[in-house]
Amino acid sequence: MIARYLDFCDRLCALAAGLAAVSIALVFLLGIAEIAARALFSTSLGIALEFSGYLTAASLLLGAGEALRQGTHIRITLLAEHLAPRHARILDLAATLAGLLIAAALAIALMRYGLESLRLDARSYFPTATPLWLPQGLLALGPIVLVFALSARLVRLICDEEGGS
Amino acid sequence: MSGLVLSTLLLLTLLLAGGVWVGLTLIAAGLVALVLFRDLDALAFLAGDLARSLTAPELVALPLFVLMGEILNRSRVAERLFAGLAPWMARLPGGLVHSNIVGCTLFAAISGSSAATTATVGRITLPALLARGYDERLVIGSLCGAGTLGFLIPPSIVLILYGVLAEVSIVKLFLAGIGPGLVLAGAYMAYVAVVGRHHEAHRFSWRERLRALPALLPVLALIVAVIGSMYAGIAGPTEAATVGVAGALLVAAMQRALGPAALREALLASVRTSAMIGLILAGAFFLSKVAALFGLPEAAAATIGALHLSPPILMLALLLLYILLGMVLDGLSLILMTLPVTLPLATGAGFDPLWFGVFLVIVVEMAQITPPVGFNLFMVQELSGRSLGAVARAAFPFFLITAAMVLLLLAVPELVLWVRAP
Repeated sequence: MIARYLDFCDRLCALAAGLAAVSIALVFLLGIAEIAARALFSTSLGIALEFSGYLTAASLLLGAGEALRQGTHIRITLLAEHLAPRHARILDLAATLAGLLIAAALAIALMRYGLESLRLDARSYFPTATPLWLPQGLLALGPIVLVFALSARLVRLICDEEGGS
Repeated sequence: MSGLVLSTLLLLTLLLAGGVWVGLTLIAAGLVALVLFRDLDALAFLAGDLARSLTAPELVALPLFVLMGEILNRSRVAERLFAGLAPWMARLPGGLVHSNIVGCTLFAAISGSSAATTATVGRITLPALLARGYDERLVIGSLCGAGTLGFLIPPSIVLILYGVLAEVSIVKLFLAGIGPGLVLAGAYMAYVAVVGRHHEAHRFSWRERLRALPALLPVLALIVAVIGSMYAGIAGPTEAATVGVAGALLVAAMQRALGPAALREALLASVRTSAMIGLILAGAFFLSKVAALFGLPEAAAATIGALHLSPPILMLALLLLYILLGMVLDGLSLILMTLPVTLPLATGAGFDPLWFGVFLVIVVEMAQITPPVGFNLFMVQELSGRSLGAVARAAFPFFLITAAMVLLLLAVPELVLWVRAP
């Protein structure tokens, strides 16, 4: 049961990272298309500025879970390195729990924001009038995945398995 | 106000020291301050701010420059760079150690981060130089020092972030970083020339030197495409980064260094780095908005103003503060966390925000090579297999040179401010 949950969290992180990779690739392709449109046809796609902003924001948060798993996120481990292993583990547990609560607040905040836009049918001020819940929902995905990643980290620490860094 | 500041600082210190991730710590500090001291929907404030600030068009260049670095890291660009530079560096006093510095300087002009610059150049130069019997301390130290140029010489991820937060033109910041970057590289080379004992026995003929030049072409072409296009005013940072990724793909493809697997790896590595930056950036954006809501920047500027410090003394005090904080924090977190308070201090004392950005980046470069926490030290430690202490000792002379550069920048602000001139 626990193993299946951990496996689910790991897959979720990898999936979100894949989505982030696609976002970055799309930002690049949009950029190329826009440059080509301007150079060859002296026109603008009109959507590049708006959508590359949404995709960039998503790509900045979507990989959060995977980055946690790989130990890429920055934290100060100086204190933990000077503690006995048993105490260091307790400190890590506390830090992971605190991180989980903060990430949950962030995820709830972004989800609520997207739902509110959906309820009010808020639109972007660009000509596309994109329904704002779409990019906002995409933005919320990263922190949601981060919550799962932190919960998996917590479970691993409690079960005393070798966690990330 | 003092209750707010003290409780926020206490919370920040507690969470950071406890090992809570930097980005999440910043978010927590902002949320707690809002909940305790302001009667407003803290979560709505957080979400609204992130939805606005993370979609800023200036940030689009960020993941693209990261991707460009990751692609080039997997290409043979650094290898060719070393091959092209070696015949030109061999007869200089200090010999091929200069290829570390010139290699990093050139690579910094196509890479946005100092970790990427250090890793890409060091992976080639470190084994090559040590195999030829060069002084290990000088080789390792010069790599640590010159690797930090990745942040100062455009394109630069730190300058993009500073530009977005401080609302300064990123293109101008990029141009402003070039002068100090080249002076710093020159100073490192001068030090190597004075201290370096080892020489190359082999005399390269002019024929050999000229025949080595084409190896530099990929890097030079990319520099022209990325920096040249911005300098000429035909491209903004986003276009330059897009062209840069396309160029990096082209170079890697021509070197047959980029299969689908390597491309996928490059993308996923960019995702991790972008996520690392993104989380801290989200926290920094939010915390700086919270600070502004409470009028903290003005209050800080007024408090310092009441002390009647002369502007250079203020900067020296900030330098000292940043060196101390830089021992336990990495450069990126350092800038993003402190900016809401230090930027108004600097502008209040009459410093140009453009100048302060370059000042901060050089200070951050120092943070990258001060133990116990210095990302360039970690990178070189990994590459060389030496202890952190040994790497830090080797880097120390280069740390001092970088500190001297800050003083030079104070004495001669025109090094940066020529960019302002019409």
